[in-house]
Amino acid sequence: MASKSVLRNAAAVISTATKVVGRNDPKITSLQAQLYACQDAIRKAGINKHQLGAVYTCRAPMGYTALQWNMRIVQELKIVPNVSTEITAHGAGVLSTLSHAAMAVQAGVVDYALCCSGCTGPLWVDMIRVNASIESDLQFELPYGVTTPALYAQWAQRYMYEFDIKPEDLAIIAVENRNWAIHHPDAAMKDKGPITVQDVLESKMLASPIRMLDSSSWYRGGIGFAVVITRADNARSEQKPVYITGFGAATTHEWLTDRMHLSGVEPSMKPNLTTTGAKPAADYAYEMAGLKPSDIDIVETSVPFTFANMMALEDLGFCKKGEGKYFVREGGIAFDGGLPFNTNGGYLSFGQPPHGMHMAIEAIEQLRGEARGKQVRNAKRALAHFHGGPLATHSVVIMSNEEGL
Amino acid sequence: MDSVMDVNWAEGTPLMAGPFMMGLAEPSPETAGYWEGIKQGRLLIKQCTGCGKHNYPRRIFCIGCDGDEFEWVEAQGTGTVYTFSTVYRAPIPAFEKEIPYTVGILELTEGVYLFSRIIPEKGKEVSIGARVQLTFQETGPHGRLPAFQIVG
Repeated sequence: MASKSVLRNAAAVISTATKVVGRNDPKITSLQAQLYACQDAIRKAGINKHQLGAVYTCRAPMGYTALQWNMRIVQELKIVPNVSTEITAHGAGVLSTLSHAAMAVQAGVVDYALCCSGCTGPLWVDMIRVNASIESDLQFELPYGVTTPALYAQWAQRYMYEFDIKPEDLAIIAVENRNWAIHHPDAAMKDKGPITVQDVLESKMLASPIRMLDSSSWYRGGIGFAVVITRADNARSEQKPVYITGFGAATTHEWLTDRMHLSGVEPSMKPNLTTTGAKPAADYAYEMAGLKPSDIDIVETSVPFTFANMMALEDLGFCKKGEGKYFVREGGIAFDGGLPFNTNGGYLSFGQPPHGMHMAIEAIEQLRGEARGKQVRNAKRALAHFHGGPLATHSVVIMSNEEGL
Repeated sequence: MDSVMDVNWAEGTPLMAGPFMMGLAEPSPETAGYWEGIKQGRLLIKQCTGCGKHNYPRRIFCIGCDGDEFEWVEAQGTGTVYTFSTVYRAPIPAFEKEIPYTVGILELTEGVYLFSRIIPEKGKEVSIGARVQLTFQETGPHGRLPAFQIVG
């Protein structure tokens, strides 16, 4: 097999765009939000839209149904790309659009690729009601009255039991995420001020052991996102390219209970509710990048609960399995001096636009020195991890702002 | 159609989508035997005719040997709690009168993991590892479904 290192820094992001739709803004659909972001990203890249050889989208967002989402996007942009497809791996697919774009430009199939995602679902549908029916098995789980927190709580309960993790250990993650969010103009919790461990422990119980402040907050309205990617040697310095250094992905199941019915796989992937596909995805990405976790300056993840953030820190290699509680307790992700983690506030405090690309765009803006919130100084490499619920499918992309790294 | 299967799970309303939902909300050929069992008040799981291993009702290839021939067999109805959560905010109004209720994953004696309702002992908390016994109970808008009672 050819070495995956040929993809290392072979592609670069040359523009990003974010279309924020607030609760008081004119109400637009998910389709409109994504299209406005696409137009903006194309304009910022300084290219003609007909130079786009590839368009990667995700599956249709919530609140606006199209059976062939990618074709709606392409049609409205009025372009005829040679490669256009949906990367359907749930929320992980949002990040994997960048990986697929990198492969296409590296292979010389296309010169420029557009990736987009986003959703204004919260403006149109009841997300609490709808989301559980997307994240649970409609025959074997949903009939028992599950909500999204109740599905993830199954992981949380077992994880806390096996590794003796206390609610106050997990609460630190909510506190640190909030510390970043209050600096970010687009964060849902920007104006809510800092929170304490006690605030988290006293917040309303949704589905034990998950409380309100252990959970992501639905984004106040909606957001559309787009990025343009080209070959590294085609990027111009004024475009402030951010190089795609490594990537990987892994899917273990579709529905929660099926995570317990894997077989014939590497030890960490045997049936359990404590290790996710983030581990093999990250291992692959590090190998492609020729890097290790200690080389990473910024980490962004899309997981939506405190426990899952701790699990991600372990699976992505920033501490050993079961030691996330010590890492977090000892200031491992402290806003002051720890590993910069979810630097826009993450899903807990930036909020969760369904199908958000914001954690990747945050990483890119940080590496360009253009953070809209708190800028991390001298950051050279960032790792983004996206997942599709419930911890079923994972995508990791490592990026850097120096081509030679 | 079976009464437990003809509702839209998200809304608790009659399901009008028809075969479009096969495999999702509607039984597909690989799960139909499970739902036939439910109608008769029996919990059926799959057993591989090749290697004898018990399988989750959805499996198409055996978790032990990748074989594709199964028999539906009645589960003993015993097992232990693998994990659980007590739900305080219902997804839809039809579940509100049951709040709080506990849902979780049971490890059946046959080695199959199943998601279900867990009924605590009176005045006691559910715990991981607790032994359970199968029962059936009315569940939200979905009629009688399997549930597991904690046994001391």
